[in-house]
Amino acid sequence: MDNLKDVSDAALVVAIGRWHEDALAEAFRRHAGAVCALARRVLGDAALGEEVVQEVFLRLWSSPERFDPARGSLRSFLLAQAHGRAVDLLRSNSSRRRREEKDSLQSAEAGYDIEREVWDLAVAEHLQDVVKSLPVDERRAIELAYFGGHTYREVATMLGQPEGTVKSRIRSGLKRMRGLLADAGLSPAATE
Amino acid sequence: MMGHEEIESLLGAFALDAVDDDERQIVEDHLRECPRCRAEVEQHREVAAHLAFAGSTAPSGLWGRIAAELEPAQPEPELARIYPVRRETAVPPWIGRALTAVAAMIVLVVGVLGWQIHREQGRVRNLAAQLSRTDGLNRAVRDATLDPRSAKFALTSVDGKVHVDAVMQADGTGYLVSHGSLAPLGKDQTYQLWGIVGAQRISLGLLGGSPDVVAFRAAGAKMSALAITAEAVGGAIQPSRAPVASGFV
Repeated sequence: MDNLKDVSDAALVVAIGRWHEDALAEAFRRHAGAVCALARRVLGDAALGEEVVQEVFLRLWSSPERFDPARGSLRSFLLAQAHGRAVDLLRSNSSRRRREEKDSLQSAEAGYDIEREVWDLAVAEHLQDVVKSLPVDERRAIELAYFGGHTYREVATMLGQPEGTVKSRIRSGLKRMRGLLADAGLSPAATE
Repeated sequence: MMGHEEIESLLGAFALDAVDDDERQIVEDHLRECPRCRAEVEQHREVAAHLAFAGSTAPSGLWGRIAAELEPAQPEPELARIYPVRRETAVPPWIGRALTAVAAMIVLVVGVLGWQIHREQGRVRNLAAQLSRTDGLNRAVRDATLDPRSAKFALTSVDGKVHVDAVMQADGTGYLVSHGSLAPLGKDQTYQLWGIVGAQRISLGLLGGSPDVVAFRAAGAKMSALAITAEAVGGAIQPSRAPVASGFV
C-alpha cells in the first residue's frame, strides 16, 4: 500500500484485515509508544510491558475484526486491550510489587514519535491542566485504579473510604474529565 | 441480581479494569444487551486513553520481534479475512432468511468490507470532485497538486478522524483541503493555521469556522510542520489550545 502514513486508523485496520503487514507496522508506529508506556507503568516492569505490547499487536493482526471503528478510536482500543492484559498479569502475580504512585504525566518518557510531536507537546500541556482541575479525591481514585491496576475495592481500602464512594468518584471523575477534555478542544467531544 | 442502576454505577471502574471478576462478568453480560451502557464504557475508555497519553517511542527491536511472529500473508482472495464483523446494521434482515448461515456470513463479510472500501473510495472521489470544480481556487489547488515541485502532506489528528490534505508550492503558496473532516465551529470561533519554524509557532492565517478549501502563504521561512487549532474569532497570537490536526511538511 502507498502513503500509509496518510490513511486513517480505520483504513489501516481494513488493510491489516487484508494481510498487509506494512499496515500493522504503521499502526505500531502510531500507537505502540503509548501502549508500551501504559503497560510498563501498570506492570512496573519494562520486559513484561513489552510482552503485553507484542501480544496486543499480534492479536490485532490475527483478529482485526475485534476493533470496531464505530465504537471508538484504535488508540483507545489498543490501550484498553493492553491495560486489561497488564492488570490480569498483575493480579495473577502473587509477588506483586508495591510501586510508588506518581503523577501520570510526570512519568511520561522522553522520545515522542516525531510525527506526533507537534500534537503531543500541546496536548500534554492541556492534559496537565485537565487532570489538575479534577477534584483530588476523584483524581486519586482514578490514578490508583488505572495506573496502579487496583480494583475500586482495593482503592477504597487504601484511601480509607467507602467502596461505594470510590466507585462513584471513578465514574464521576471520568465524566468530568470528558467534559474538561471537550472544553479544551480535545477529541472526546467528537464522539458525542 | 444487580439492577440497572447498580450496574451503571460500576461502569467507570469497569472501564478501568478495576472491578472484581464476578462484577466484570455481570457488567459484560449487561453490556451485550444495553447500548447506552456500552456507549458509556466506550466514552470512559476514550478518556482513559487521554490519561495514558504518555506517548514514548516503543523500544527498538520490539517491532522486529512482532514481525517475526506474524503469520505469513494469506493467498488470494484478499476478501478471505473479515473486517469488521460486528457492525450491527450491515445486513438487511431478509438475507438471513434467504440464505444459509454460511452464505449470510459471506455476504456480511463482503458487504462490510465493501462498505469500508467504498468509504475510502468516497474520500478519493470527494477530493477529485473538489479539485475538478471550475472556480479559481480549486483550479489553483489542482495545478499545485500536479506540480512535481510541490510538497504534499496531510494534517491529521491523533485518532485519525481529522484529515486535511495540504499542498505547498515552491514559492510558499499553500492550500488545504479539509474534506469536511474539520467539525464546524460556533460563530464565536475560527480555525487558525500555524507554521512551526524551529521552536516558534507562526500564525499563517485564520481559516474560518468551517473551512473547505483554503489558500495560505508561508514564504520566507522554512516550515517543519503545520498545525490547526480552534481559536476565538479574531485569532490568537500564539496557539491557546491543542491542535485539532498537525503534520510535518
